[in-house]
Amino acid sequence: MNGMRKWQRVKEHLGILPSIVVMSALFWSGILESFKQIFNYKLLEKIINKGDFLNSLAYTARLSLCSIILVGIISLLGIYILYLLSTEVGPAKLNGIKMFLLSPMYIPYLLGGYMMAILIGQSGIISTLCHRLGWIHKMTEFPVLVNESHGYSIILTYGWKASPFVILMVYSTMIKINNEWLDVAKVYGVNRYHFFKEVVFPIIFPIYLSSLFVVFAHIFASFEVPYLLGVTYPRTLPVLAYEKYARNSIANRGEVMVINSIIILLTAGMALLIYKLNKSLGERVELELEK
Amino acid sequence: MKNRSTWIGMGYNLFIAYTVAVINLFLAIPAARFLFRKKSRFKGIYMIILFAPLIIPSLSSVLGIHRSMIIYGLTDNLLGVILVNIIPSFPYVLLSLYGSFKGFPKRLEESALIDGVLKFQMYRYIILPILIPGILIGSTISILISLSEYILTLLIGGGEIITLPILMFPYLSSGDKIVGSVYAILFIFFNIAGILLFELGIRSVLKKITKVKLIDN
Repeated sequence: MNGMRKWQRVKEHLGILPSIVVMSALFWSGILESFKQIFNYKLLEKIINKGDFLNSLAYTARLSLCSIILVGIISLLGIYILYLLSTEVGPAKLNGIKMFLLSPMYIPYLLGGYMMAILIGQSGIISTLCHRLGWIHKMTEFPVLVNESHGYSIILTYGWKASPFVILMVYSTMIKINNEWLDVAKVYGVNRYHFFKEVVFPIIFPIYLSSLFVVFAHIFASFEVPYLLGVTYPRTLPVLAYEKYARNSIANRGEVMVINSIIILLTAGMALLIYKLNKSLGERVELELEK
Repeated sequence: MKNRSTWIGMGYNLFIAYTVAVINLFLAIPAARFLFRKKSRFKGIYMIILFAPLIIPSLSSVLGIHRSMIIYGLTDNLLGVILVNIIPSFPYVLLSLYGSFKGFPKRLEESALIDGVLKFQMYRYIILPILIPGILIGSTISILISLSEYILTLLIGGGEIITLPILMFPYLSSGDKIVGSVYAILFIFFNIAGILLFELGIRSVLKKITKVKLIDN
């Protein structure tokens, strides 16, 4: 009888068990493997003292910060445009505009980075255009924006590629807002900009903020774009880890694992922050909307 | 440009992406149902285990398991590449399926059970038809992710498994603009074609299984 009941309990979990096993074996074992090394104090000290690592950390943080500021501005503009249009045009047209705004999401990061390089590179489209128009005399006069140490092209790529995600997340909350509120507000002589600022923005703010954090964590840990558009020095942390690993995998393994686990810790901390933010701010908004 | 390796790369690319998408669906459908329906003490932990790759980079994890994958002979072959491609895409599939469970009344399942439906039949006639939008979105995202995966495939495939992004990357980074652009355009069309093909396939399969007429949207 007891065995039966136990079996019942196991059977309940049968649905989720395969995915748990697969994810633990593939993902979590790797994470734990990386963490084994972080308690190796000597190695940790060695890495931090090297300077290479700290430089990379600062560089990565700066890049991600600049990127999310850009993403924040672009996505807010996009949201505002969507909001203005949602009160004007019909649903079919609105859907078309939404699809257009979200289209960068469907382009892989690798290609997004490459397109940015073609666009703003020294022999790229904009530079050629300036040359043709006679603004610059030689192509080399155009400022170097790709593969340079400030990472302008990386920031621009993220600004362009990651904003649609934020717009999408916010839009799903924004459509919940009652349209009648705007009519009521209009009666009291409030214009649409003020309505957006005073009513819409506070409601979408939590989801806006938490999706920006998601983007931040994503940019912090991403590999392909900085690998493509960055320079050999300074490198972002994930690129540093990979290059160390690829060059001499056995000798540097310990170091790579430590860098790895630092990346994991930082992103996991970010995830926790997002979760807490969502919970405290999001629930309040949900309550407001239910009223 | 029209050499054989491009075709081989596309073939590998499609094969990997489709296999990964199918595996993801098989894993995620029961998992999403469990997460949505059942109550369990460990639900929070399960959620963390399954959704963590959304935030935590998969490259970090794969660097960690690379050595054990070498030991078990999973590197430089298709199986290993397929396995690592599951990591970044699975959470998205689960998320979209989980989303489409919302608004699915439990009573429907219960009444079916009362009528003496087998578990298999319940999946076939009740759960699958309701999940169709989630399945379509989830598989699309999964294919998009694994078609453009570069670093995991390079690391685990070890140069044996050639996909389009791996072929493309040297041209993109070195600045051979003409070849790079041709590859880029080819890749975009390839992505669209790959997704449309899979959508068509999965639609017809679902139609056959569930006997529901799919409304094209």
